[in-house]
Amino acid sequence: MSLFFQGQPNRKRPERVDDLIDAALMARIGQLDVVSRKIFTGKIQGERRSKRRGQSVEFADFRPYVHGDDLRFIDWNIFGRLDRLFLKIFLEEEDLSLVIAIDTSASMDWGDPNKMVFAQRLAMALGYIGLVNHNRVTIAAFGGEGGMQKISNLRGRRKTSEMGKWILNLKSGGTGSFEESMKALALARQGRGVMVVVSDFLIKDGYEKGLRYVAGRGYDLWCMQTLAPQEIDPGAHGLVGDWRLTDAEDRDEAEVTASPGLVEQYRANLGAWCAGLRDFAIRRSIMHMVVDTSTEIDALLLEYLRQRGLVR
Amino acid sequence: MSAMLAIVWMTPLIGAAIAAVLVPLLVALYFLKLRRRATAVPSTLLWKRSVEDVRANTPFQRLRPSVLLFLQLGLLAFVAFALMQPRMDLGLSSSGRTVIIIDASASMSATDLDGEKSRLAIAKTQAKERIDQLFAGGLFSTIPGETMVISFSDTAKIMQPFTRSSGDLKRAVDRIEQTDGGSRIGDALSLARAFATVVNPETQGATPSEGASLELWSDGRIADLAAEAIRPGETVAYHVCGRADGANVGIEGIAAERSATEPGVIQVFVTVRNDGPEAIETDLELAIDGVRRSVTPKPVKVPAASNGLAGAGGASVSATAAGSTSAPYKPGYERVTFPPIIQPRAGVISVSLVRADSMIADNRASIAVSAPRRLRIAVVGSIDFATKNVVTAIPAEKVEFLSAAEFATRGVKSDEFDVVVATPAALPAQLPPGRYLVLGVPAGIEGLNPYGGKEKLSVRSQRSEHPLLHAVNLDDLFIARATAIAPASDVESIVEGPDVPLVVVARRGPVAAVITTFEPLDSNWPFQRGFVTFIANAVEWLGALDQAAVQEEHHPGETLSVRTAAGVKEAMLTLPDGTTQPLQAREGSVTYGPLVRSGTYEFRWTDDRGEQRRMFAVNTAEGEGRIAAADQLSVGAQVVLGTGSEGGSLSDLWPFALAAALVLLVLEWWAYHRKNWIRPARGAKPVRPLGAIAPIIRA
Repeated sequence: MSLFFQGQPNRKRPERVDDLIDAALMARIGQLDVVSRKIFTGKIQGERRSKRRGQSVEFADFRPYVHGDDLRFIDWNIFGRLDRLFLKIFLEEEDLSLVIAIDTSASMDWGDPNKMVFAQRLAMALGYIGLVNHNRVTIAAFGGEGGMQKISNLRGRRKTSEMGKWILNLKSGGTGSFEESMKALALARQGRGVMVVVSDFLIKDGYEKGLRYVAGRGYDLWCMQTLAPQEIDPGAHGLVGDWRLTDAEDRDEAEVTASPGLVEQYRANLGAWCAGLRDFAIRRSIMHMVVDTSTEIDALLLEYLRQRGLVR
Repeated sequence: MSAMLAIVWMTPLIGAAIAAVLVPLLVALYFLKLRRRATAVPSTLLWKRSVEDVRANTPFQRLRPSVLLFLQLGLLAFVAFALMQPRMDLGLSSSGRTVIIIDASASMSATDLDGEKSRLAIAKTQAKERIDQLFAGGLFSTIPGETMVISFSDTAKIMQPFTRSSGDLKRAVDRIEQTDGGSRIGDALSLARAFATVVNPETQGATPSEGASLELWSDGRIADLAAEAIRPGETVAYHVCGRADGANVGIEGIAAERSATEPGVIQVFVTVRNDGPEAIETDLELAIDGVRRSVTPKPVKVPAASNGLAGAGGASVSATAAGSTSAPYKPGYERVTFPPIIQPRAGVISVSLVRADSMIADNRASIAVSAPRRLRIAVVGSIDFATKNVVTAIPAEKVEFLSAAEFATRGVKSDEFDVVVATPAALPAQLPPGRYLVLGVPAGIEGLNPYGGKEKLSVRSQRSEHPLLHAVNLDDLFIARATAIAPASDVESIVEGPDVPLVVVARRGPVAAVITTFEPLDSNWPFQRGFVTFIANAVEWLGALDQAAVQEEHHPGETLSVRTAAGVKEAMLTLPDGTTQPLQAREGSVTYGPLVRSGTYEFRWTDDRGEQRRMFAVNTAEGEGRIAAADQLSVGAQVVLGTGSEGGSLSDLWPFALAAALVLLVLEWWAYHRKNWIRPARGAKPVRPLGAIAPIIRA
């Protein structure tokens, strides 16, 4: 029987930034970059090609000069040959906004490996990728007791430590509303970019309204549904016999006799729940992915997220 | 009567109490909510959707049919059943009055059932179990019926009158001793019926019309069974002791005779009986006073018994009594004569079979012989010439003729003469101890009851097998006058006239007398050869009664009597098992009996001639050699089937109940785990990190 169902979950917490992301992992993922399926304009020029023409070195096109255009971009060679003013148009390189939203509700502080720790490590890894690529990285924590917290507009490798300490200080627990949190994130949007929501999405009020706020509003949205192995197959992890299950968030109780039939029914319901989220995501161009917390972070980033196109 | 199967509860209250408490408790526990282990989960959302048995918040839930519940109820029922200590009664269960009758005859000493314990020992064990069973009604039963214990062989003995104390009854059963006697149940039935008669229904716990339940432990070889009958209201349960195919070889009879010409030489005759289905060969060994003296030169072949070994018990013609048309049972006999042995002294001659079988009591027979000594005869009174001539011709140590007055003064010494031949008129009114041949009816012997005379009489019947009438033909005897007597029941009549006895044998303690009710000269007897033979037989028989040259053979059930000098007060008796016990001598005689075991009995006493010694050999009762147990009894016209021949008649059931409870426990365990069985995860880690949830992703 698993230790978890004997009431001894693994509560070992990361205490240093190195516990979240070690040097080896940083080396392996250092060359990765976060990819957005959409190219958006940024506030400042970044290392990212934008659809928007602007001041970069990559020529895009010519257009006739109109009053008010910047005289610096007039192609004087064409003016010499044709005696007409044409303006050189360059592809402008923009910065990318990467928002990582971590669910810190009580339901995340569960499982072995712990879902909250896994979300912290995933956020740290993704945030590091964003920082080293000079993206504007925002880490938000929702669902916790203190309402939504976030650290915004981090840019550059030197912010790694600051971001790591902030992630380390996240506390789980609480029953904050998912919908309100997503709404707040949508309203606070600065520019466009990629948003990764790390949650188990086991939300009794429903995840649909919340996701609607952030979907299609300039974000390339990813839903990383993190589930502990004990959630995925409780029967194989010692949930046998008669149990009184207490909801970690609202303390609701469910009395179950964990028979094989019941466990199978639970797995079917979990599958249906995940399939419902996936269908919802597909309809709104949201990427959805179920992640087992026993998955290694480097494997997740270097293999699965690369295949799915979040990083490259 | 057929056997019934009944279950006896040794401790019904305990089992009932356990069941009364635990069964409702178990059902109540099923009503109550389960006690569950508590744990936290991220969300009860999916569980609540999945749970089938989340019930309402009421403390009790509806009792649903559950295999587990039924298995647990069954388990409890079996445990309660086992705690009641049920036993299956293979015999009869009885709530009325019960008489336990146990056969202690010689054939019950056979060890054919298990090779070690005798049939009697096994019967006693079974009887005690039966007593347990009769008194095992527990607190829910009514008052148990009274029970008594009787043992029988040749005679019956009440070991315990009717009682309700099982301890007394079991102790009484333990006191039953093995005998080497025959089997006669008549006395036992009479005693049982006498005690079982209900005169006070309130105290005796039965109604007058309610007959006793007789429970008999025997091998069924009972001589007088055909003469008995089961009375209305009586029930008889026959517990067979012994194997139906029990075979046995034994010595049926032994006799020894000193040579008439050489008194120091003894010849021994033995009859060997075979009750087995096959002829056997065996050697015989003869010993005198424990010293081997002779062995048969070649093995003696004894033919097999004819016709069935088992069948209905009873007399030797049991098969006929049972209504069968087959031939009667007949054991195989072989007579063996040993070569003459020189034994001028007294001693005990023993003949043994050099062969072991399951009944050893009859493998050895003994006979005691005294030193050769001739008779001392007194002729008292004026007897007729014919008798006088015959008596004078008998070879004797001395024949002395005395007058009535001389006898009155000298005859008081009982050991001076072996036999006294007298006319009734010459005898005193109070006969001194001795043995008498009286030619006429004397006044000194009670129980003859003369009441007149009869004339012109002839013999109607005679007991030719009696030793007195050996080779005596009375067909032509005619008696002119005789004294009519109405003898008491203990006076043995051996020759009968039309309606009066003509020759009787009377024994009154130390006095034994052969009496003719007529004077010889009042008949034509003196002119017949039989008269001489009769007088000689009578003198020899009387002389041999206690102290003859060659002893009679004795059997269990008989009484031993020794004549001593008049002044002897006490004699010591050594029993076959070596123990001694003092006996009071009364009127010149010491008596011991009835005999129980076979073997050598030795009397010792001291008189003015010094220490005297007499030995008797007692052999196993005749007919006890047939040890094949009868599987049914023919009591009169009724047949009683035997039950429970081997082992206890009461078999424990609780081990089976306990075993069934254990089986149910295993089934309950299996059913519980089948309900909750989780296959172990295959491998500690999935090969692909997301393999475990791949189906979810695809969904």
